[in-house]
Formats: sequence, structure tokens, C-alpha cells
Amino acid sequence: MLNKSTIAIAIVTMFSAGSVSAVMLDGDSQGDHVRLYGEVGVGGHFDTHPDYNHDEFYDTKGYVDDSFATMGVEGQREQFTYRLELDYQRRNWLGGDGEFELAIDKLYVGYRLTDQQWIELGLTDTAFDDYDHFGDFTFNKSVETGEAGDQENTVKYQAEFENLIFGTSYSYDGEHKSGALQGDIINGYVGWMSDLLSVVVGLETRGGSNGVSKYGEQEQIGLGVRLKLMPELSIGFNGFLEDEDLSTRKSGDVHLDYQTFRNIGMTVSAKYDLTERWELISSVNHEEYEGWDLIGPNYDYSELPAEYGKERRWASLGFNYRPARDIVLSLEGRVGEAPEAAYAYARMYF
Amino acid sequence: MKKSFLSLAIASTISMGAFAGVEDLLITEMTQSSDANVGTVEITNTGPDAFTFTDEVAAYQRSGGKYDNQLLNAEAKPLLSGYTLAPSASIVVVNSRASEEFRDAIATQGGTVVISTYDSSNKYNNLFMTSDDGFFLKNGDTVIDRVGAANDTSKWAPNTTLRRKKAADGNNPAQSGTFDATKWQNILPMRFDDLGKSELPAADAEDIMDIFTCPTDKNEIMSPSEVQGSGFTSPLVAAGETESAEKVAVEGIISAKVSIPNEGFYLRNFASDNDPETSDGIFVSSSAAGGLKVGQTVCIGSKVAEFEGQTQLSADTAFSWNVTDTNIVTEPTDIQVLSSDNGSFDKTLERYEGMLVNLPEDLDPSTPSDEAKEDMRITRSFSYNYLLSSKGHNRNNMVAAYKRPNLQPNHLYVAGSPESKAAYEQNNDYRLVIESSPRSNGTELPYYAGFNSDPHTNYIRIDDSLVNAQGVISQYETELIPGTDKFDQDYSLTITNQLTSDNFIHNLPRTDKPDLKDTVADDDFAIRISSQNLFNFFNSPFGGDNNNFGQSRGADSYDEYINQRTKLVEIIRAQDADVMALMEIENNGFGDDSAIAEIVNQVNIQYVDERAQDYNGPNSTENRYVFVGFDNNGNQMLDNLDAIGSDAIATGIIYRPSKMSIERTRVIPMPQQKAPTTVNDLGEVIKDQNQEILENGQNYHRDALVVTFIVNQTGKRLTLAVNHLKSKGSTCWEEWQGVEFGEATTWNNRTAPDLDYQGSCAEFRVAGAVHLGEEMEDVLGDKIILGDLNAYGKEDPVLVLTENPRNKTIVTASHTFLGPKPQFNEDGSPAIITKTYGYIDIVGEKFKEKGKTPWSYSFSDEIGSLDHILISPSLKDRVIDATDWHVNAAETGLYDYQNRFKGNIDGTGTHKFYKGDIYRASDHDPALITLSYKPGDADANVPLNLPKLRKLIKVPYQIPTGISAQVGDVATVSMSPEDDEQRLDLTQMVLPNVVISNDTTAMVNFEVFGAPSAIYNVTVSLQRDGQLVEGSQQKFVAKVSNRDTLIADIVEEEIDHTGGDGSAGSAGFISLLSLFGLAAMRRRLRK
Repeated sequence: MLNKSTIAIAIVTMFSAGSVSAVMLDGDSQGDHVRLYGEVGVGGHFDTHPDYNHDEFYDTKGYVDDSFATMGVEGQREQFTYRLELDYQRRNWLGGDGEFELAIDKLYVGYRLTDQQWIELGLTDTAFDDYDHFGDFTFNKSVETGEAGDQENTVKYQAEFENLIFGTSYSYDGEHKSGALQGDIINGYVGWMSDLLSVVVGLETRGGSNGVSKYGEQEQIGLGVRLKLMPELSIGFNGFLEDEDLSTRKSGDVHLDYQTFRNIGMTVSAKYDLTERWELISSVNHEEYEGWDLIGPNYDYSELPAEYGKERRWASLGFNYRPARDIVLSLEGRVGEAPEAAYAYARMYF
Repeated sequence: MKKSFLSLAIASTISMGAFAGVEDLLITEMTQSSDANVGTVEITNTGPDAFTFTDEVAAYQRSGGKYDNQLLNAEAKPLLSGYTLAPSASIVVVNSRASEEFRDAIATQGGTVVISTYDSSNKYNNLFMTSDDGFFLKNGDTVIDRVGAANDTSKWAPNTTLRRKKAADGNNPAQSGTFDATKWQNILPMRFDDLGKSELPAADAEDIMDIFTCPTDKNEIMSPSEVQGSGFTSPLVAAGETESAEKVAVEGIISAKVSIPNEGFYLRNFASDNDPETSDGIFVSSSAAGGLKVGQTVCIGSKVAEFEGQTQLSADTAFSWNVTDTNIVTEPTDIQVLSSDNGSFDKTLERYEGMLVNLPEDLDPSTPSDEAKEDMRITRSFSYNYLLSSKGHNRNNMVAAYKRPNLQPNHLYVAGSPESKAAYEQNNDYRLVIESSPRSNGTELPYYAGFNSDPHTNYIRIDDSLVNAQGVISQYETELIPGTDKFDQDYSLTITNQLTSDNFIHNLPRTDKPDLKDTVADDDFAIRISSQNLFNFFNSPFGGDNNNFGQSRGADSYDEYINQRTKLVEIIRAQDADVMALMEIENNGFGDDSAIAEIVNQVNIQYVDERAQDYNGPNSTENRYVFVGFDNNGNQMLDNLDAIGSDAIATGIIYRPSKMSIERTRVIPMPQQKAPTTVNDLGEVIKDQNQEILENGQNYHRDALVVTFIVNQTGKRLTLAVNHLKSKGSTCWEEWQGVEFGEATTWNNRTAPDLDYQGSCAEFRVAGAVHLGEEMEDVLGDKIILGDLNAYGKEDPVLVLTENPRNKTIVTASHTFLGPKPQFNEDGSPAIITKTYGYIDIVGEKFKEKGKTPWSYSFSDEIGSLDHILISPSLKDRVIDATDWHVNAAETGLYDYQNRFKGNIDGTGTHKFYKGDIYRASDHDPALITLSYKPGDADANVPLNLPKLRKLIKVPYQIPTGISAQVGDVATVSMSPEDDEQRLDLTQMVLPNVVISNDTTAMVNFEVFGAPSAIYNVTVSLQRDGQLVEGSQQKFVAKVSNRDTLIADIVEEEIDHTGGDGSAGSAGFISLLSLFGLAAMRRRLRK
């Protein structure tokens, strides 16, 4: 399912002007078209840190590869749209094995109600997923918002007016990226977009697995803000507050005794455009998971506490370099309670 | 031939190592009294040559006229070996604990002091002369000289110095293997001024005896009451002194002669002084009263002493008194409480100190309007008194208390409160130790022949009234008060008359079943729950599975094991509980050979009647139990590897599948204390008197077993949490905080201060209670916390689980952990607990309604409840009754299964107090509760649990209130499986119609046959004249299943509905829109 890096690419593809440069296979002036698009990226995480690894990496070692490729076809005929996207990605998250896997990332048909409103049906991003890192300028992931991501069996409605944006989705029998049942998921966002200031609020709730997996009910609110201070300098804020019910006990295959865990995460980031080709990006980050809180009532006391305690804080500084159109070279260094020391990546889009 | 040559010749033939000079050794002086520290023996070399002792010439003590004990040094070699005695020099052997001052005085007088250093690995090789001992020297196998008749077992030398006299011819006397008292100068009281000096008194030296003569002037003679005075101390003893400056002459009649609590006799006034404030009697401490008889008149010269709280006289020898051989009977005086005693029973007893008294049926007849008679109640049954740091008063006896048995101070009053302290003081005040004379051997009561011959009929229980027992009142110091250097002082009654069963009135007579109501309204049924401590039931040494802890705390032999098991089986059956919590059962898992399986199997043997008509009978198979197994190691098997927690004993649950079914089971791991080891100022680990680490900071509770049942025929959950919290007996880290160890490396583990009487580890039990309360908060439905909480009714852990109305500051232990998780604070500091969990101490509450006080345990001479049933408030309306059953704690431990200290063991491996009955099956009383249920009652979202018995279920129909059934109405039932996909075979199902035959019918039970196991939607209703009676229809969900089996099985839990129902919000998009009202983030499940 959705790898974290795909979030980054989603953001990049959607918001970096000019980067949507797919190969037009067919098209006409009415808007009907078929396009092939994709990405090849090579790079990964350097010097991952066992003390600060929450669930980021399947192994902590000098280099964890995060290479990634995606290829998709999307098109429109009259009001109908469709999209098929394949990802080739590393299962490098905690519990994974670091090997490549091929997965269908998106598979939907859509319908454009108007120029500003459309719906999608099938396997697609849930609505909130589109804006869950809105205020985070970093190329690498920073604080991860635990929203639903891509889901099968999803109905999504989105609208984009001049300044106002709105979206909501419903997913039947939603699943965690591990495949574990989470129950129905409804999420959405509403935002205000302008050159100077943009704000998006996201909301999500899910129905829980009713004992099938460790995931119970959940409610979450997210906030993303971008403010252009100067033509070259933008700052952003991204954060979430989540009450997530998780099972604290298991009998056989049945998960029991769900307890609510409150999780908070926030990022303040800034982006400075040095030149057309160079961007400097920095962030400071704070994450707080109740499950990490040794003194919290729901701490899983079969395990030793994490080194970082009940919260993690770190900061990052990095740059993106675009030697040519559709090529991004990224390098980021991190300090503090970060699970990795650096991230380096080269991507090409088509 | 001279004698000495003869003896030499004999010696040389018998023992190879004899040599010249041994015939010149002579025992020349001896001192002894009741104080072994001043017992000495002087040996003098009367010959011309120096003599060096070898192993051949050895010193022996003749102990008590019975035992030859060779004196050894610390290397286990003969004590005197290697010592050289110059001509005319003396050595003086002294006890190892003789004071330095004492030894120096002997050395100054010219003697060589030989300290009896003794070998601690052997018994009885110290010189330990205590008035009844002798001494001899042996050369090889021959006794060559002796002091003290070899077979005199009396206290023949009280406070005595004996000096060897010269022979009549002025020469030194000859050695003598036998003792001739005439060859010794007798000095009394003892003197030490000649020890070490080798000169002997002349053959005609007079004995030096301190002989008293009664004054002829009667005015110089005092009566016992004049000596006693009216206060707690004698007016003759100046304030701050322990004895009078001068001797006084006291005359009286001997009212009693006893050896317990101290040896001596009791004098009484010729005639009462008619002053109730003064005692008319006094105790004379003497070990020389062997010749005196009760009824004789004695005039004694003695100083007046205040000894351990008692005013007394003393006499070392019979020379201290003059006897007139009268035979005057002393009638015992009834003890009577006076208003001038101001409520102090000590003051009452002080007025009778030294007197022969009687315990009347009413000690306070001044309150005739008060129907209750104030009498003396047994508060500790006959048992060993286990006094700490006792001054020699450890023995088997009983304790009585004024008006009522002593309740543990914290049972009714919050621990640490002024009321609790007052209760403690009152217990001390009301106590009267019941002694026998002579001392009991532990299995016989010298004053109660009926008990000795038939203890099963003539039993004595706690709370028995002791009436018309006669005896003498004494006072003595019992034991050190922990954390202080003070001793408790108690009054005692040494019984002098023979008692029968008429003297013991059973206020709580034995009953063969608990007094527990379980009558219910029509249509309802009762569920009975009990909690029983099994007194360390271990079966591993007798064919059961081994436990992982290498301990066996139960029976020591197969005979004991069978006896223990027999009694436990009887007491379990007698309680007739539907579900039972067990404590102190061997922690050897849940396999076929586990202790809990053994107990259940043995209990079930009796339940054999299989026919339906016998279902309510005492021996019906419906009564069979099964134990709840916990697959603690998760290997999907119940076996001997499923031991729970870290102790050799565990808790357990057994239940009747005919009455309830398991919904879920779990083990709640309880907090552990992982605190620093207690060290002294130098950082050294302190050991206790047994060389164990005094307090290593590692302490544990037994883990809690939690089982949620569904009561059959209902959808009511009932969760039992069975607990056995850390005991009061051994310490936790907290106990030693604030104790100044200095540089000590050993410390008595019994001396931890206990200012609020909660015993050890109260704070740690609080930590356990908090965790238990927290974990139980998530449990749905009705809940009961039961078991041995090792806390009395108003102690901190119980306050936490119930309520803390006075807002006592309750503090947890420090350094408590749940696995690696600090329970409260990361730095290990304790937490102050302000939250309480609202459970109801139902036995306490029910007893309050009945005007009684619950208790389940007897410790020392106090009783109280450690075994509790705490119910959630949701259960309160269901409670029919609750009680303790005083079947164990009220009884003396003589009746238990153990053979130790029980006297002769008969051919069946059993002692005379043993009987295969219920009494003293354990040391704790069971606690019981009955609850009432109506078929059809259900919690929200819980289907009715309708177990099949031979394919038959009973579907309950509670006719709604407001609907009056009429004769002729027809009740109908329909059932359809909830899940169509199962495609159940319903062809055999019989859904009966029931014709109402009684206008008052409020409940119909449909006997439905042949319904396959499944969840059903059930509809029941009344039809009248073929029409549905409006409002009569009821719909509910029922779960039809087989009963829980009688073979313990792993219960896989079903979903608990805390994980959501899969749908996000109740109305999809509307719900999402409502989320935009940002204020309402959902409240968390747990505060």
C-alpha cells in the first residue's frame, strides 16, 4: 500500500508548478486525453538510529534504501476520468523486510461534475490524504500524519473553487497499510488557498475493526498552513491531533480491551528559493504518542520504554536542486531525536 | 594403700591416659541461682605438683539431675584441656555470658577464670547453672569428684554458694564421686567473695543462712492489701524505685500455689479489708515453696518489689518465711468492674492482682438495664503465644478479653486514626491471658479434662464466654513493642479449678453450614459465591505436578496430605457455592495433576445422582465443579507449565457449569516492588537474625485471576477478580525507611516500626489495589473483587477499593513496576492516591445490618477480616445475604491436619485432634455472598445464555409488568437463527406453547427441545383468544450452546465491543460534517 515517500511525490506532483509533465499519449482540445506518467527515484536514509526508530525502518543500519518507481496512466473522456498507477517500492518500514514489491497504488474511475468538482470511485487517496502534509515543505517525510492514506472501495468527492477547496471521502472496510482492518473511514478537508496564505483543515474518523485487528475507532484533526513571507521565503505549519483506539490485549486471534491513545504531531518548516534551481528547506518537529508514555495508563509494559521517552523532537536542514526540468536531487540532514541522520535522493519524473 | 593410689590404679586400668596429680583435683566451690550468668564452679589443685588438663580429665555439668553435658570450648574440645593449675591454685569456670566485672572480681581474688566458651554447633556444652544443676569431673570414664546429687531434679541450690569443707582431721578432703551435702558449707543467699581463693573452710564451719523470724508484735506485720495499696504500685516502693528500701513482714494465708506465669505462691489477707480499691492478695516469687500447702498461714520477710508491673514479694529460700500449718479455705472473689475504674479494665484487674478470683457471668452487674452480660470472651484460642523478645513467657495458653473478643484496631477504624489507636489501647486494656499451672504440654489443658479426653465435643472457640473459671491474677511483661525498647504488660489468670463445658459458653457455636440466606422471589434463583483460603494445599510431593519454585509449604507426609485434602473437600462441599475463589493453592499449573484439579476431582466424587429429578439434591451431578484454567504460557494447552506469577502458591477459581458459563478469562499481572536493598550507614547489606538479607527491596503480590461469567438463563455478566495481596508478615522497602541502622550489619526482621498497625507492606498493597481497581474499570458489567487482601476492613488498600470518606492521605509504595513500566512515577517516588473505586464491602455492610462484626482471621489475640467480598454498586440490589463463616479462624490450630506438636500419632497417621470434618480445614474463614437473578435478566448487548442439557433449553419469558396474564392465555415462543448462512438443521426443534394456568404468572419458561447451538432472535408473547395481547411481545437475542464442560478448557475470548463496530460514525457524511464542529474531540475511554 502507500509508502510514505509516495506522499512526498504526491505533494510534489500536485504543487510543484510545471512538474506535471506527463507523456501525452493522446489528447484533444476538449480535454479528453490519455497520459502516461511516472517517476524513478534512487536514494534512501543514511545512518538510521535504533534508539529513535519508532516504526520508520525495518532495520537500523548505515543505509536503508528507499528507491522507488511508479508508473501510471490517467485519462479523461468527456466527463469521465480514470487512473491506474503502479508502484515499485521497498518494504522498508518496521515489520517489513526491505525487499521490493510491486503494488497497484491507484485504480479508479471518476466523473467531473463541473470544472471545479469531481468524484472518484475505486482505489485512490482518501480526501485528507491529499493535504495531510500541506504545511510541510520538506522533501523527505517529517512528522507523519496517521490518516488513512490510499484506500480501496472509496468514494471521494473534491472541489476546487477560486480560493475554497473542499473534499471528502468514504472508504468501506478501510485497511491499515499492513492490511489490517480498520473499519469504514470517512475523512475530508476544507481549505482556503491564496498566494499569500493557505490553510487546510483535515478531519478523519474510522469505525474500528471490532476485535479483528488492533485498530479500533479513531478521530483525527489536522491543520496545514502556508504563509509566503517574501517572494523567496515561505513558512509552513503542519500538525495533527489524534485519538486512536488500539487493542491492549489479545486472546487467540481476538483483539480486546481497546483503549484510546492521544497522539500529537507538529512541524514548522520553511522554504527559501535561492535560485530557480536551488531551494533550502528546514523544519523543526515534535511528535508525541501516548503509547510511548511510560507513565501513561495504557503503556504496553511487556516492552522496555523507547530511548526518546514519550516524545520525539528533531530538526532538519536540506536542499533540493533541480539541474533540469523534472529532475530533483535532494539532500537533508537531521539533528535531534530523529530516526536517521540524513536523506539523499535523486528523482526523475516523466 | 592410700585412697588416692587406689583411685589412680583404677583410673589407669580403665583409661589409658591417667597420670599423676589428677587425684589432687578437687571441686571446692559452686555458686548457682536462677541467673546462669553468675553460676560458677571452682576447681583447686590440692597437690604438690602443677597439673595440666588433658582431654582425659573433663568437666561435665549434670543438668537438672538428668543429663550429663560435657563442657566444651569453641573448638569443640574439652573445656579445661591445656589449662595448668599450679599447686594450691584454683580455676573458676564461668558461663560464657558472665560479665567482665564479675570475672575481674574472681581474678582479683586469685582465681584463674575459665570462660565456658562452648561450641555453638553442639547443644548444651556451656556451663549453665540455674539452681537445679550439678557438676562433676571425670577422669577417663570415672567420675572422680562431684557437687550436686546425681539424680536430684529439684531446685536444690536456689541462690546458693557451696564451699567444700576440710576433712575432720584438718586435711584437704578426698575426692568423691558422690555428693554428700554435709561436706559442704551452705551459704544463702549466694556470695562470691571466696571464689578463686583456694583455702577451704573448716570441717565444722557453720552454714550461713539468712533466716527470717516473724515479729511478735502484730503491729509490725502487714497484710497483703496494705502492701498492695490502692494504686498500680505499692505505697512501700518509692517513686522511681523498683523495690522497697527495707524488708517488711507480711502475713497471710496461701490461696494458691502455681508455677505459671512465675513460680511461687499467693498470700491473701486473713480478712478482707473491705476496700475494693486494694487487692487482698499478693504474689510471693519463690522456687523454694515446694513444701508449702494451700491453706497454710505464712509470715514472710521480704522487700516489696515492682516487677514487670506486678507488686510482689520474694523468697529465695524457705528460711525467708515462718509457716503455721493451718488449713483455711480461700473462696475466690468475683471480679467486678467498678465505676471508679473509669472504664479501664487494667484498673479493674489491678484491684485483684495477687488474688484468687472467679470470672462471673456478669462482670458489671451495675448495669441491670443493659441486657447484655459483660463477661470474658476468648479472643485467642488455645495455641502457642509466639511472643517476640519474650521474657521467658513463651508457651501454649489462651487469651480472653473483657466483653468481646479483641477486634484488630483497623478493622472498624481507619488505620492511623485516633479511633484505631484507641481501639489498640482498649485491646491492650481488656486483655487477660488465661494460663494453666503446670504449663501445658501444648496438647492438654491441665484445667479441662473434658477437652483432653474428647476435644471434638469439648471444643473452645474464639468468642466463647469463659465463666466461673477460678484462679489467681498476675501481671508480667510479655513482649517487646516493635520499634521501641518497651515491653507490653499483661494481666493473667492462672486457672486453679477444673473446668467443664459449662464454663465455656459458645456464643458462636459450631455450625455445619454457613448461616447464609438464599431465599429468592418466585421465579428467581440464587447464585452463591464464596472465597476460601486452602491453607497451602500442595499436592506435588504426593503425585501431583511439580511446581517451578522448589517449595512445598503444605503437608509433610502422605497421611497429612490426605487429612488436609479431606478437610478441604468437606469445607468446600459445605459451602455449596456456585463459584468459589481459592487462595493458597499450589502454583503448579492447570494440568490433570495440578493441585486445583485434584481438589475439584475430590469434591466432585460426591456428586453422583444423575437423574433430572435429583437436580436440586445435595448429590446431584449438577453440583459438579470445574476449575478455570489459564493458558498462561500461551501454548494452547492447559498444563503444568501454566503457573501464574512468581510465588509457590497461587489463587484459583472453581465453578459449576450448571450455573454459569465463562465469557472471558485473564490474568492481571500485579505490580512488583523493585526497590534498593536496605543497607547500613556504610552501605553494607544488612542481614536479619536468620542470616537472610533483611530487605532486598524485591516484593511481589500474587497475580489476580479475573473471570467474567455469564449467569446461565440470563445475559448478566458477573466478573470475579480473585486476589491474594502481599502479606503483612515480611517487610517491604518502606518498613525500614527512617530506621537508624548506624553501622549494624544484622537487624531483627521483626522490629520494623508499625505505628498504624497495618503490618508490613501496607503501601505495597495500596499499589496493588490501585492497579487492580484501574484494570477492573474497563471490565463491563457486575464485578466482585474477592479474596485475601491481607488488609483489614479500614486499611488503606480496602479504602482505595471502596471509599475514603475521611480523605485519609493514602500513599503507595515506592519503586513499583508493571513489567519494566514504573507504576506511578518514573523516578520511583510514591503516589498519593485520591481516587477510590467505589466497591462495597458487602460482608461488612450486611453484618452491620445484623448488628454484628465480620471477621475471618485470628492473629495473635486479635480478630478481623482479611478475606473480603467487594462488590460493584451495580450488584447491590441483587444481594440477598453475605457472611463470614467462623468455621476455621475461631478454632484452635490443634484441629488442623498437621501432625507437628499434636502429641502421639496413632496407627492411621493421625493425631487425636484430627477429624475428617470441616472445622479448622484452613486458618481463614470463608466469606460468602448470595445474589438473586431472574431468568431473562440481561446486560445491554449481551444475549441470554441458554445452555443445553440433553438438547433441552429453557427460554425465559418475563411477562412485562403492566400485562396481567389470564388463565387460558397462551404464551408462544419463536426462535430464528441470527445468522442465516449457518443453514442450521431446525427440524428437531420443538417450540412449545404454554397455556397460562394461574392469573399471577409473571414468568414463563419454555422448554425448547432440539435447538442447535447458535445465536437466535427470540420472540415471545401472550396470545388471548388467538390475538396477540398488546404490549406482551418481547424480543431478545439468545445464545444457545452446550454447557461449559467439566473438563477445564481454554476459553478463547470473544470480541469485547470496545474496538468499534466497523462503521465510522452513525450516519456517515453527516457524522463527518459534525466533525467540523472542532470542539468535540471524543472523550477518551479512560480518564
